[in-house]
Amino acid sequence: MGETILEMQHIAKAFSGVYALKDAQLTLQKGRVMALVGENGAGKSTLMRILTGIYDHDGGTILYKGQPVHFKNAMQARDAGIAIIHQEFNLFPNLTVAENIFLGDKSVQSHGLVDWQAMNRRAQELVDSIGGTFSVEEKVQELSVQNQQVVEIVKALAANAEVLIMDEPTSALPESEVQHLFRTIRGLKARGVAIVYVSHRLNEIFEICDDITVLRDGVTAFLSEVGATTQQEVVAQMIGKEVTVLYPKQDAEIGGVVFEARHLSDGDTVKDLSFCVHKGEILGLYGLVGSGATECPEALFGLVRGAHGTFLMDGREISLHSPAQAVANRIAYVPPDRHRQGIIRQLSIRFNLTLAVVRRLCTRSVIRRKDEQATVDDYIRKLRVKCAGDSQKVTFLSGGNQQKVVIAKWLATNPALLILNDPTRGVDVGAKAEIYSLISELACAGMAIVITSSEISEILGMSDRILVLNEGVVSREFLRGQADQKSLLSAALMRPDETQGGV
Amino acid sequence: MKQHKSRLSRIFSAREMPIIVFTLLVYGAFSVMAPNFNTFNNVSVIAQQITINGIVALGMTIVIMIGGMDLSVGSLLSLCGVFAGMMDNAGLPVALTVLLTLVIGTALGALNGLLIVKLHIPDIIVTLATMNIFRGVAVMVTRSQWITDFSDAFLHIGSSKGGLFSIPILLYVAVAVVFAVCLRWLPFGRLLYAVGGNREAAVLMGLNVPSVKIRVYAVNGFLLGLAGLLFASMFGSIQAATAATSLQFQTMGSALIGGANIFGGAGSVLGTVFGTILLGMIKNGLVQIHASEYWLDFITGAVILLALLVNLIQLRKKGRC
Ligand SMILES: Nc1ncnc2c1ncn2[C@@H]1O[C@H](COP(=O)(O)OP(=O)(O)OP(=O)(O)O)[C@@H](O)[C@H]1O
Ligand SMILES: [Mg+2]
Repeated sequence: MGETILEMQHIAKAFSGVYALKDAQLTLQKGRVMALVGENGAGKSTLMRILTGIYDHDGGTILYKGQPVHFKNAMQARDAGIAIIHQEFNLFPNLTVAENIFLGDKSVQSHGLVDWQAMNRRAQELVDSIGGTFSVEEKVQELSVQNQQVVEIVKALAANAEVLIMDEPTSALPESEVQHLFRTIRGLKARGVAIVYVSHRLNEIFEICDDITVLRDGVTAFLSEVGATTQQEVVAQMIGKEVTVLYPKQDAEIGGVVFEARHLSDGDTVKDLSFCVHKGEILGLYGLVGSGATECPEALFGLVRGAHGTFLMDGREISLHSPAQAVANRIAYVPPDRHRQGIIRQLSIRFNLTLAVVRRLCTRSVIRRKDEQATVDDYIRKLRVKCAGDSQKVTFLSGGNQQKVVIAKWLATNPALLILNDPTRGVDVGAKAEIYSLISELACAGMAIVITSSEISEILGMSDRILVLNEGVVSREFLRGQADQKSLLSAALMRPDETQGGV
Repeated sequence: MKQHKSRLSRIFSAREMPIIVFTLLVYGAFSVMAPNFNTFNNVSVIAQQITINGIVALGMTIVIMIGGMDLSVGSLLSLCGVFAGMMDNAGLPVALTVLLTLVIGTALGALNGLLIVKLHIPDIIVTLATMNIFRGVAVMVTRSQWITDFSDAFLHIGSSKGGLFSIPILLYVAVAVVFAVCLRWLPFGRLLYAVGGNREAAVLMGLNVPSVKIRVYAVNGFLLGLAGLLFASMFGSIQAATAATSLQFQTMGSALIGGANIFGGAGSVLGTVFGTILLGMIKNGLVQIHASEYWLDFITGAVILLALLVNLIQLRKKGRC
C-alpha cells in the first residue's frame, strides 16, 4: 500500500435543495490509480469539482497531505498540486494548443512576459510524449475532437500534479488511442502521482486501475481493490441490480434497401464510399481515427461543406447538402460532440427534447401542450434521464444525462434513417443497455440505422452488418457473428488494397 | 532558408493581410483619382485626423475582444474633454489637467465595468445608460456652452506641429505599440483572448473574470481621457452636446474591419490600426475627389462591407466558418 495523500470524508453537497452528494468518501494513495465509478448523475463529477475548489461543499472534510484544505478555485488547487481533466472540454478554441496548455503558467514566462519559444517547445514535447501528432501552434478550433481530448490531457500533465483527476478522459478517444494514455498513466504512477480515473468503460478500469470506489446516489457504496472484484459485481454495486445482457440486440426482419449512398466523398477523409442500409438493419461503421468512420455520418447529414455523392432514399434520388435537407428526408443524426452540435445548454430539457419535432406537435402553429408533455415524459422515462424535472436547464444535468437528452431528441423525430455517431459516449452501463434495447426495438419496427462507435464491443454487439473503413473507403464487410474484436481491428489496420476479395 | 520561407509565408497568411492589402488598394485608387492625395502633406493630415479615433478604437478592440461592447465612448470622451477644458480655463497647470483628466476617464471607465459585473447587466445595456448619463453630465456642467480660450500649453498638446512627428501622432503610435506588445507577450493580454474565447473555461480555470472585465473597461476609460484631451486641444474648443457623437460606431467599425470578433475572442492591434487608417483615408479621399456630400455615408458603408467580406474570404479559406 502506498502512502495516503488525499482523503475526502463525508462530503455532502446539494444544488438548490436537491442532493447530489450525501456521504461521499474517497482515499487516494501515491502511485496508485483509483477508479471512481457510478451511474450517470451519481455525483462523480460533482465530487471532483469539490476537490478542485470549483464547487463549495456543504459538509465533510478534505485532507491533503494530512492537512485540512479548502481551495477557493481551480487555480489554487492546481498550485497545490491537484490538476483535473474535466468531463466536458474546457479549451479556448481561439488560442493555440500551446497556450491552452500553459495559459497563466509562470514557468513559461520570463521577466513577466510570455516566452513563446519556450512555451511552444515544452508543449510540443508533452504532446509528442503521449502520441499526439499535431502541431502545438495550431489553434484548438482547428483540431478534431480526439485531438482536443489529447490537449485536455496534456494540459493536466503540464501542471506536474501530485494528484491528477481524469473525469472520463477517454470518452472522446477511440479504443485504439487509449493505449497512449495508459502508457502515460503508468509513467505517472511510477513517479508516485495519485490518479483518479472516472470512466464508464469497465474494461479500461480493470486494465489500468488499482482500486475502485463506487458512488451510488451520492453515497460511497463500495470500496475494493480492482484485483479482488469482478465487472459484474461492480455493475451490480453501481445500479443496485445485475445487468446480464449488455447488448440486447433482437433479430429484426431485414427488408429492402431504404437508403443508399454512392461514391460519397467529403473532399478530405472520406474518399469514395458506397453502401446501402436496409429496412430493419443496423449497419455498423468501424475504423481508426482518420478512416472516415466518424466523418461519413457527418457528410451524410449535410454537415460537411463540399461533400458530394449520389443518395437514394426509398429508391428516389435526394440531395443532402444541409441538415435541413437531411431532416426533410427523414434522416436523424445523433452527434458525438453534444456541446457543439447536440443541445442548447441554456434551455430546458423539455425544450431540447421537442426541438426537432416541434412542428409535429403544433396545431396551426400553436404547440399542443398535452402532446408535448406526453412526448417528454415518455422519453425521460424510457431513457431514465435523471433530472429534477423537465424544466431543468440541460447545462445542470450530469454529462451522461445530457447525452440521453440528445438521443431522445432525435428518436422523437421517428426517422426513416437514424444515424448514431458514437451515441453512448459517457453513458453508464445500465443506461447503455436501455438505449441499445430501444435502438433494437426501433430496428425491429423497420427503421434503418447506421451506427459508429469508439467502442468495438458496441459495434460488434449491435450491428447486423459491419463495414470496416480504411483511408476513406470500405476495406471489408462482415456479417453479424462473423467478426470478433481481433478480426475487426486487424481489418481496420490493413490497407484497403491488401484486402481485395475480402468477403 | 526553410526558416526564412516559413516566416515569409506566415506573414502572408496573417489575419491582417487582407485588410492591409485592401487599404493599400484603396490608397492607390485615391492616388490615381486625386492628384493631391498621395502627397506628404496630405498623408500627415490624414494621420493627424485619425489619431483620436485610432486611440479610441484600440480601447474598443480589447472591450470587444472580451465579449463586451461600449456604446458610451463618445459621451465619455466628450465629458473628459469638457472637464479638461474647464480645468484649463480655471488656470490649472497643464500637467495637473492632464493627470486629472486621465484619472477621471479611468475611473468612469472602471465604473462601466463595475456596473456590468456587479449588477450582472449586459455590457450593451449598461453602456447605453452611461452613454446618456455621461453626455448629460457634460451638457449640464457646461450648460451646453462651448468651452474655448485654452492656454498655449494646453493647445500645444494637440498641435499638428512636427508633421508626422506631432504629439498626437506620437501618442497614437505609442499607445498602439504598447497595446501590441501587451496583447502578444503580457500574460494579462493573453487572458483577454481566453476570457473572450470561452468564458466558462476561464471561470473553471479559476480566473477572476469580473476583475479582468473591470480592468479592461478602466484601460478603455484611460484612453478616452487621453482622447478627450486631444480632442479639446486639437480643435481649440469643445461643445459637450456635439463632440464625438457617433464615435462608438466609427471605432467599432475600425475594430471589426481589423478582424475583431463581435462575439469576443479575436482582435488585433495591427488590424484595428489599419481599419482606422482605411476609414480615415476614405473620408479624406472622398473630399479630395470632390465626391458629393450625399455619397459619403453610402460609400463609407459599402467599403466597410467590402472589407468585412475580404476578411471572411480569408477565414473561409482556412475552413473556420
Ligand atoms: N451546477 C449544478 N446545478 C444543479 N444541479 C447539478 C449541478 N451540477 C450537478 N448537478 C446535479 O448533481 C447530480 C450529480 O451530477 P454529476 O455531474 O456529479 O454526475 P456524474 O456522476 O458525474 O454523472 P455522469 O456519469 O453522467 O457524468 C446530477 O443529478 C446533476 O443533475
Ligand atoms: Mg460526470
